[in-house]
Amino acid sequence: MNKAETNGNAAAASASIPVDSLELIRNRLHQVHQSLRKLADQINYSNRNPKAKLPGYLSLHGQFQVLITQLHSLASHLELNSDILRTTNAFPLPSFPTTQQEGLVTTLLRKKPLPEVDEWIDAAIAECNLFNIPLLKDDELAEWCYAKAKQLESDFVFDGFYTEKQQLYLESEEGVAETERKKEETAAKEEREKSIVGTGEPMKPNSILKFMTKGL
Amino acid sequence: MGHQLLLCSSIPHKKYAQTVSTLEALTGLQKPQDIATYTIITKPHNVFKPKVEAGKVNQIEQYYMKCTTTWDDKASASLDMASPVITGQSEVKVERLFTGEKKKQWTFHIADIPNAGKNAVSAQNFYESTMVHYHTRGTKPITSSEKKPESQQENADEIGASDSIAQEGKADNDDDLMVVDDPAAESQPTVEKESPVSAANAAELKDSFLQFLEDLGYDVINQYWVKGIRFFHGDIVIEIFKVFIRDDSDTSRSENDTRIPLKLLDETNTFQIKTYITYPKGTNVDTITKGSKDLTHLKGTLNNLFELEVPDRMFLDSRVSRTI
Repeated sequence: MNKAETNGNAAAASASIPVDSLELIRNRLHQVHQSLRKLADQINYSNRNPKAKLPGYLSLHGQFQVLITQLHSLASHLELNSDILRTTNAFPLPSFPTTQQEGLVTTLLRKKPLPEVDEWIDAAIAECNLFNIPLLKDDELAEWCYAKAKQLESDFVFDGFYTEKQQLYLESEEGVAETERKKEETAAKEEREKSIVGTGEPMKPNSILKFMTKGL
Repeated sequence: MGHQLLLCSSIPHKKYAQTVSTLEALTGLQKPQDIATYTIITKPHNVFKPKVEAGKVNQIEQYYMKCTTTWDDKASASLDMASPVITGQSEVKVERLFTGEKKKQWTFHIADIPNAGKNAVSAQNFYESTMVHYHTRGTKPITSSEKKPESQQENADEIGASDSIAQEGKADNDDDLMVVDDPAAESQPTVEKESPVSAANAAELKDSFLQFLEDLGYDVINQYWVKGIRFFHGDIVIEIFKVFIRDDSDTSRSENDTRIPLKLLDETNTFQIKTYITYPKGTNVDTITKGSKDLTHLKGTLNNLFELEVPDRMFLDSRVSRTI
């Protein structure tokens, strides 16, 4: 394998490398790494110096939030580029010093998780099942609460000015008669009002004041 | 001199009870004060024409004057504001003011035209003075009773009053002021004053309030009665009232009844509302500004009950020369 061929192979290989996707993921991984290291440092520090206190709950919580966001972002990027990553095969170029860097090569080329990582994953899944949070049931409860609230609300919305009893009375014969009588009374009252008010327009306060000032 | 801030409004008769209850609640006054007054509007009979000279104040005005006294006869006492006064049905008849020997307080009131400009409330300066008047019938010299009744009778005839009034006028020319609301009446005191004889008589007739006004240089041009109630809210006075005038068209009156029938000025039974604050002379501006704010605030508070408005200043113009 001459040098020119090697170069050509390297060029071809580098052309087919999904640089963009990898770069994005690398950035995210870097961020996660940073956050984790900072957290680890803090905890280790407090472990080494018994006098030093752990960082406050709020600060830990904040860091945890950041970590979650970063992980979430990482996961979404992995998901987004999953096609490319799945179809890409990593291999060392001939120029790579395989013998000297054997450990690194095996690490880089490893496709399966480490057995201990597998253990973690299994443990996490087992634990998750153990929790057995009834998510669906929660939703059901929420729906039921909403419906109940609506129903209660409608029970307490009043239309008109009468209670049920009064309403029933009004619909009965006596009630109808009374309504009739009241109507007549109102009409009579209006008639009386008319005779009080007369036909003319009421005088404006200004006119009255003028009369009171000048007698005109 | 006083200074008055004023806002006015009116309410129909049917809202009276509601308004009164609301104001009772607002002011905490269980029993509002009664208003019952009788007012004579007078006008100076000598026209004052100052010589116009440069460098001198030439804007000298003459003003109408209001003379107010209490209206405290049976009619006033029995008149219930809560029930409407209906023309042809209700009967309001006042006693003649000058019958009987009575002591009366008269308040003379002359007001300036309200301040110009766009103000939140109407602001007006006024001058007031009060006089106590002891009415005595007195015995009059024949000359005067000959001279005066004559003219009074003319006057009475002109307005179509019944004979009893004319006779009353003859017998005692003091007690028929209520009749004197005809323009014809205005001209005659001047004449009388000019003749030295009657001037001498007038001196002896000083016990008459009318005579007093004439000597003061004022003629009676109209009269009205006010009946209503009054609330106090802080410094603010709230008055709700109706204005009555003499009812000349009332013919149902009997011969012997010397009382004067009244009718409403506004026959729709509408109540007038005045809310005002009065300050004595020399009150500082801050106090008046605060009063103005108080009134505006009251206006806001009562907004849904009745709408208080600033009266048009032209209608409150009591200068004689202006005719609006």
